[in-house]
Amino acid sequence: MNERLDALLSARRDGVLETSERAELERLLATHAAARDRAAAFERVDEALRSLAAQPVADARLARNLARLEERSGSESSSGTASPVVGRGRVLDIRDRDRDRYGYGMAAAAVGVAAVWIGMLVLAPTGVQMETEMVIGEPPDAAREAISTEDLAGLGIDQVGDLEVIEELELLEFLAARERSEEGPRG
Amino acid sequence: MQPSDPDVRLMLAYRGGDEAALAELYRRWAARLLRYLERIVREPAVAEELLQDTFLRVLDARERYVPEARFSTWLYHIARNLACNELARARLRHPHVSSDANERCEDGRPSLVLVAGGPRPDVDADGRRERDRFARAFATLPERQQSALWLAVVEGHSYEEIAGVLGTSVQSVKNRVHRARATLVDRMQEPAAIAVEKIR
Repeated sequence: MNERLDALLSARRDGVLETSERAELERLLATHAAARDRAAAFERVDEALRSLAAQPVADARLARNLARLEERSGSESSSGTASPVVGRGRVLDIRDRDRDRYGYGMAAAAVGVAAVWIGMLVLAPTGVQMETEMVIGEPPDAAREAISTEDLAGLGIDQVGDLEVIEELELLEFLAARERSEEGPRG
Repeated sequence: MQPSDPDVRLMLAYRGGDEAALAELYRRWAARLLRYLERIVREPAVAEELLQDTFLRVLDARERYVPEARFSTWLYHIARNLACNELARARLRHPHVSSDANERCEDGRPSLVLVAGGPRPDVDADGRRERDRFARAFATLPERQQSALWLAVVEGHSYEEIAGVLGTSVQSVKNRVHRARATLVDRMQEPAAIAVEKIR
């Protein structure tokens, strides 16, 4: 079945057929059984997707996520920027949360830089310092810079904002992993 | 500004200090958004984190919220950006996986995690199999096609609104929606064994 028919059928389903296209499609549908079958198949796809989206989500799961959202938004705060969540007495202060995250990030970067200097001082006379530096001493930012522009384009990362959020998420993952390791395994 | 949108009204009420309005927004959108995020990132636990992240962004924007579009368009825009960043991060962890530079946020992970819900007694086995098969086929689409089709079919967004969410042109949205539908029709018409083989 040709691409043109698919485009027309799809446009019809979304109500964006132009007058001339509508006439073209009606002619195809009137004269080709295969076109009618294709139209029915398109309809079934939409129904299947709606059915998929309509699968119920357990109330308990939503409630658990709401509770987790409140936890993540921070404990009760008296700061002026706080934004309470759903009136349960807890408040959000996302600016503080972000400050904490960046605080951890800066600390991690400082540790990385210190490791480079210590590594250089301790291992300078030996023949293994280059490899050691590359593996241990490279701070996270330098590692990121090693990714080429082409790599980033290939990943679809084309905005500074994306990188900032990725950095933020990486830090979140690190903090979550640390939290998990501190809490021990769960059932 | 679209004051006719009940969600915009809720968000404005929340901005004005009505805490219950946020609870209502969560009640109205959390389940649908979670389903969307599960389809995009394919891991329920990650989707839940992203759901929370999305609402955290909504909370953060409370003071400066200005309705310029439907609330759902804004919400999906946030959720999708977060999901795309998650996918990009996953790809950084797995750089060996090929990617198509033309498909921003396309997830090329080879293995699929089926996130359809567990068995329900009210759905017969054949129906469940078909639904799961469709879910697998949907999961093979590039992310932009998934999002475009989801927003068009499930949320009834216009192509203009979808273009805003995806950061692309209306024509591009039109093409992606049509390609997504055509691919799904082809996949669903194939015998199941062949379809599974293609997915792998």
